Amino acid sequence: MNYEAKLSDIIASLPEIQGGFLFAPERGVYGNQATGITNVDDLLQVALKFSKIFSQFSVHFHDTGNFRVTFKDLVLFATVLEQGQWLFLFYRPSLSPSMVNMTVQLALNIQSDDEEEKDILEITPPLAEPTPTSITPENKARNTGIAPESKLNGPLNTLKNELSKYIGPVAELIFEDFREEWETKFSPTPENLPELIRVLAEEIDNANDRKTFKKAMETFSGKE
Amino acid sequence: MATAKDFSRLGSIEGVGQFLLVRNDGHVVSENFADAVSLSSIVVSSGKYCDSFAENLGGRRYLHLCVERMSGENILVFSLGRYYLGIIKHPDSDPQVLAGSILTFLKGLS
Repeated sequence: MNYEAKLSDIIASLPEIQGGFLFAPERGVYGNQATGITNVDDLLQVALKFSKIFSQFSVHFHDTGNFRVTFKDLVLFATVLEQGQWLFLFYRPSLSPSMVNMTVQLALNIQSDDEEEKDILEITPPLAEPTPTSITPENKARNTGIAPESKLNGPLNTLKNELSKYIGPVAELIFEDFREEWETKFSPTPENLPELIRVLAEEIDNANDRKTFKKAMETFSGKE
Repeated sequence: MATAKDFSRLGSIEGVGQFLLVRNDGHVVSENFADAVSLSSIVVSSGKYCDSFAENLGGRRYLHLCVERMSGENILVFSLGRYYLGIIKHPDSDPQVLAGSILTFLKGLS
């Protein structure tokens, strides 16, 4: 589906819509029509943050739909497309949410004569699934590629517990989020643990606490 | 200064199904349903992400996040300094009207 054309149609259809952009995990921001609102780097950050918000809510609620963040002079609308892609719109608060929903739905449902009917992804290929080191019913349920008997589990549990001392109960959610990303981008090995420690430390606001956390985790750098 | 008792009145606002008021470390301060703890992390985490949109959108502070659901029980998240308020909307109520009612209520507390 040509989402860039769809986005243009949506923006053109309602004067209250001030701009929008698309995001794909492997491609980043594209189809940017929000240059008057902020720059591409900030749009990318917005998209990545929304991805995290979505993944957290969708774990608990299996019927999540569109997202809306309301500011005084602007509403940021976000909807998930196929293959982990997102469509974002910026519009004036005077526009009713139901009108936006209807406009977006209509645009996405209408197929142009040039679009093929078979279900293909035009933008990017699907993300490759990470290869787990050992697939068992236990670690499949835990959505991790690390076998239950792996020596990594001890350090990972310690990491999670240590993190919770600084950021409270939300640590578990944040830890699982980053751990999944770490297993996808790097091999889940002791040698790559410092990278996980680094990104988790960034979640600690207080500089001294962050330093203490990193120092406490030094023992796991490179060790099994 | 608003207390947890003040927030307990949230449950009587038309359109509010469930609510939870959570401190930024995940501790639930006030709620009107038994399973509030299971949502505390999500409310705090999403609230923090929304707070950080100010860095990306010209310093704009968000008023609320709305997560639409097929059931109509949309979720609203508001930032209140060190606390985050999560509201699960009643399926039949209008989300915009509800958000306005909550903001009016919160302004009345300050």
